[in-house]
Amino acid sequence: MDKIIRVNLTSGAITSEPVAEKYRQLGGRALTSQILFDELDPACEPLGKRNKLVFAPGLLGGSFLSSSSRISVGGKSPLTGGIKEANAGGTAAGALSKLGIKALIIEGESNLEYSQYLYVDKEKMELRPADIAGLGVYSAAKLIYERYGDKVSQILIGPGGERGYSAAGITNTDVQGRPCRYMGRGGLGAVMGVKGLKAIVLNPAGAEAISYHDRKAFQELNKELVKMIRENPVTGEAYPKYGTPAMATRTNAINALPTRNFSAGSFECANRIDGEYLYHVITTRGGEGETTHACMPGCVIKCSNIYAASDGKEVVAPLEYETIGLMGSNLGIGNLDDIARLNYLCNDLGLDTIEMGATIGVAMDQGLIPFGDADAAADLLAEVAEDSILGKVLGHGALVTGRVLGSRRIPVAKGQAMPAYDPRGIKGLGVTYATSPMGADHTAGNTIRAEVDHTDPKPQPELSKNAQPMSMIADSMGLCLFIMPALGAHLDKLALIYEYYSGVKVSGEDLREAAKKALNVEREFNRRAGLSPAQDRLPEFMTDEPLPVSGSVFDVPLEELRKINEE
Amino acid sequence: MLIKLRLHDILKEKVGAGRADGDGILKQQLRDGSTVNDLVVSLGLNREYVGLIIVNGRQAAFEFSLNEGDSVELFSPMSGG
Repeated sequence: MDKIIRVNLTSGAITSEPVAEKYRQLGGRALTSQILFDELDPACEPLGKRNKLVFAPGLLGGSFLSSSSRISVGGKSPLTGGIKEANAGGTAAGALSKLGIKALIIEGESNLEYSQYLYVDKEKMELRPADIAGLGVYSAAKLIYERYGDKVSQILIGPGGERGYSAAGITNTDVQGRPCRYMGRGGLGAVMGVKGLKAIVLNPAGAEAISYHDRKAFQELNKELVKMIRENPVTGEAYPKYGTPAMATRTNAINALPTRNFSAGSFECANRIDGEYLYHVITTRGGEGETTHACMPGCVIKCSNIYAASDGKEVVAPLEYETIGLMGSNLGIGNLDDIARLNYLCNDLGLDTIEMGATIGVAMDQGLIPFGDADAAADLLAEVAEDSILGKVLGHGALVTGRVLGSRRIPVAKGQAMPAYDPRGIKGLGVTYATSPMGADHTAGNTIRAEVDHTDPKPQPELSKNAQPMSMIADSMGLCLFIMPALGAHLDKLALIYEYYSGVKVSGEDLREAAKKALNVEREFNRRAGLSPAQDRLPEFMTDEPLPVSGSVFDVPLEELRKINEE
Repeated sequence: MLIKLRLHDILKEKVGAGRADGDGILKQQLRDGSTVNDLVVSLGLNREYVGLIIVNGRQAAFEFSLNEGDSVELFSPMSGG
């Protein structure tokens, strides 16, 4: 990965630059954040021409290490007003790596009356008129495949992103060609949309820029790491069989499952939306459904799934825990078929299911539609699709919707909706929501696996503070967070496999230090963007209103929260 | 003493067919004064397979002392996405 591609949509110029020395040892999130820090005016408008989007595979991107090809995208977020990185599995990281592209920077904004897509293969890079503009992501992806064949990888946005909705994400295609692997968070789809870029088509045919410093040693160590992943009870057994939906029974048990707009931590229908039930439904129905499915090439965990209807036809893939929590229990909906349908609608519109689940939850709480009414929720998404005034409001996410509807119970941190862990039940994640440069984000430092009482406020700041750099390590190497249960305690081995890939000698401790440094870059960006410790907090309803069953409030003291970003 | 136990997902399979019913529920006889850890050992489960313990609806630790009639739920470790 020896070049950085810069696409200026104002001028239409596409240039290839050598990788500057300071970027060589950065990848994924650390790289997108450093480039944004170096190139952006942090006070710029997120939906203005001065904002940029940066796509980057991780340091291990394109390698055959399991779970190592996540793609990161960074930009200034229209939701948080701060720096943002979102990442996903899929095929884009592998395609960029094969094409030798370490980072792809999208800047400026198009003055053309039509939107465009970027086409990249080993010989050319071109902006082309997007006759797919306005289409949902499934139709758009199909047309691109018809044009370029099924070997290309696609990064694309839906109508939500094209209209600049703050709830819009950016998706990329999976191994079978589904445009379902979302870099969902932070509204970065809107940043891409307002620039006038509908899609990026990566055609790696004939491009083989991936090289190993010591392929034999890499293969040997890879064998050992794969064995560790397979023998770990989480990565070898629980994830492959039940996937992330298995979280629902756990969060329900500790009163942390978002329920009816975060008004309760447990849901009476939790056992109809959890991993065991999902497994039962998929295996009973047969047909196109799959309980064990890889989100990226070469993953040995395969935690994903394909959800099929009673006739065996695919409805959506994947159906993940966050969507189940936000568009299921959080809406009072206890039926996987309903959740899968809502998930598909959001995917097609190019919207983040976490943000939209929280948004519809707020709307239900304010009496716009009743809790539990999946048809009415689908009608709200139809408003978004039609771009009605109500649809525009909803498309801008939970905070905007809550304000318009007069809610004082809006589950956001730094303007971004909370994922499926009520911070009154898992207070360590509450600390992460409040203090991460990313806003409310479960992937920015998840404490759920720590062996502590998750409602005891005392140990939580330390847990979050240690978890945040671990997330940065994974996000920067392109690693899925899910291999961390097996490999997180073996950072030296990760450092070694990186050395065999790149030739660069680092230690596990070096990785940790680099992660802390990258977090500081994000914090400094946010400071310059105008975010302050005053925003390192959760909504007052979560500190004031006890959850009904547990009686828990979010009571980690503000001064403890502020300390996290002081050092 | 007798405690009521509910095992979830892979733990149900680990403890073995026939011991727990379809919902993962079984009754387990333990010596008085036993802890959750003793219970886990009595099931033949490796401790690393247990990531979350609930006793009578509240989160508990391995060292928690059990009493007659307690209701225990065990989960393997997991994080969402």
